[in-house]
Amino acid sequence: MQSAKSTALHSLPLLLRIELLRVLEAWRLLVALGCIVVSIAISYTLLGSFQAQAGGSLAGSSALDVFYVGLNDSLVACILLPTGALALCGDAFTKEERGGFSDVVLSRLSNRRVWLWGKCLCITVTCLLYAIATLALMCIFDMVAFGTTPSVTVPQWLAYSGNPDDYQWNRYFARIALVPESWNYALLVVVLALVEGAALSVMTITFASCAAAFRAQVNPLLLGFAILLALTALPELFVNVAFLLNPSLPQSDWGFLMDRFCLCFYCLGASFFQTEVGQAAEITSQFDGQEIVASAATQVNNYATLVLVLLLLAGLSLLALFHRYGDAGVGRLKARTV
Amino acid sequence: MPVNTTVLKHMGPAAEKAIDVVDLSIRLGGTTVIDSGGLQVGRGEVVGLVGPNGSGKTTLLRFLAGLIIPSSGAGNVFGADIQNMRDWPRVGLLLEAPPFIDRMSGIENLGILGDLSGRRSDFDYEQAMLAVGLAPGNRTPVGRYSAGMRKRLGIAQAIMDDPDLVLLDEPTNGLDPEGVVMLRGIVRACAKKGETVVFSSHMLGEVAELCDDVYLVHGGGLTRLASGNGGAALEREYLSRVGAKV
Repeated sequence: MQSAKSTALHSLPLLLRIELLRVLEAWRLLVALGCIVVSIAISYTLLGSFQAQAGGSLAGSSALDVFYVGLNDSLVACILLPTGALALCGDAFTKEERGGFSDVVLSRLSNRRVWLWGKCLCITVTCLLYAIATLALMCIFDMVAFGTTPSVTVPQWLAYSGNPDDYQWNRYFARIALVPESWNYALLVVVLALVEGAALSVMTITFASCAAAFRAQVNPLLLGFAILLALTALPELFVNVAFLLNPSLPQSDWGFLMDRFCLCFYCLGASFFQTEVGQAAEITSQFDGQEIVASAATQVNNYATLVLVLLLLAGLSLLALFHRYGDAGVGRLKARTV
Repeated sequence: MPVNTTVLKHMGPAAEKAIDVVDLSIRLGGTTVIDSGGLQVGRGEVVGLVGPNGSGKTTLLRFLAGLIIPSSGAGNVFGADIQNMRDWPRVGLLLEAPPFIDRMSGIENLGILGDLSGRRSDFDYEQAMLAVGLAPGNRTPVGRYSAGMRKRLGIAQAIMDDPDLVLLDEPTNGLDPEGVVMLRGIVRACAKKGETVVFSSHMLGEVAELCDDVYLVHGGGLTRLASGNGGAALEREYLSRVGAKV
């Protein structure tokens, strides 16, 4: 008799293979590819507008710029890429319950916890591959459209000194996170793609597990898209309503959840808990013929809250999975040995 | 109407129990599917589950597959306590509409599912396909199979591991007459090897011919029916128990 541990290790790659085979359906790939194509169009348009505002050219452009700009756009980072990931595996748990495939698989497993870990592992691998594919396609597009090449040097139009105290939004490219000039740009973009893949996988696992826990009756993918849209758009709606009610209140158009997944709300080079940057920078402007100098200090999201949000979502996923599969009615989480 | 004394073909007092469950209650999503009854099955026996549509036959089979923990009840399935499900027996499960990975061939599906149990070889998968009348060399994706072919492949999947317990949900649905005869042979062969077979069906004649024992799932109850007097007697008793007016 094989030990439970060795059987689990034996089953995991097989489960991963089964899951990945089921991900590779034409309509899923088409939706995911469509999301990438629309993301490329949005990033390309943004880059074009930056170029126009900067006087016709962006100094030191790199083939990695389209992807980098995409991660800074809330529509791309908070809606399109997560929607692509949802299309690939957002119904990882619910789709099998309808057909009963999970029953057949579970009845063959000696340790049923492996089934859940197999699902989560498949979602993670799929989302990482999806993020890397997005990077590759955007990079290829950038090379073809702009004739650029990937570079390790930070493009001049994106660079800042690296001291968060000097951080100041670029007047042409507001809402683009600037990059410390001494960093390796290519490595940064690859790391960002991996982080994006990890964030997408946490979001997708959360959605997939909650859809299973609440036995969603509507199409889980449409529901997921609606939730993403609401989470991204509602904070702005709240801010606008608050402004209408009382314009004197301090305003912020930042969100409370989805903004954590958008790069533009961070300062690269800031410390883990830092939320205020640019204290030493100054903004000079003219008013009534007088020169006004103001501090450029600004609020940014810190990385700690991103980690916290990811941990909260992971915790919510675990709760949903235990609620759905570990309750008295369904003994799927009960470890079995054969 | 008094309950008929069941005629058991194989199970004597000393017969080893494969399934011995009493006071079984299963609730799913706030609905009580089965709220009383028990099931006693000897090793190597063939048992039929009959009952109206939606009465809980499939739920009972899923419980026997170890996919549902009952809300109450006591007993064991092949020695495994039904409340903690540790050491659950090896199960071969056929669902009414057998699910597969549609883009893969039949033998590839058997291979990937068999590998999960870690016991079979390509030869075994081929033998299982031949046993149900499917050609192992047929590379047609399962998505293009007819309902009958899917059912045959599902039966092959359920028996290929020589499981302790074979669970078949409506196995004759979608099968042609030749397939039904084949199924009878397979069920008998399983029983001969000492495997216990539980299957659900609406074909009372088939049930009476194949089964050592028959249970009625109806109105939340799980009770034994007489099974040794042929299909007509079983049909009369069934209709009487479910209160059907014909």
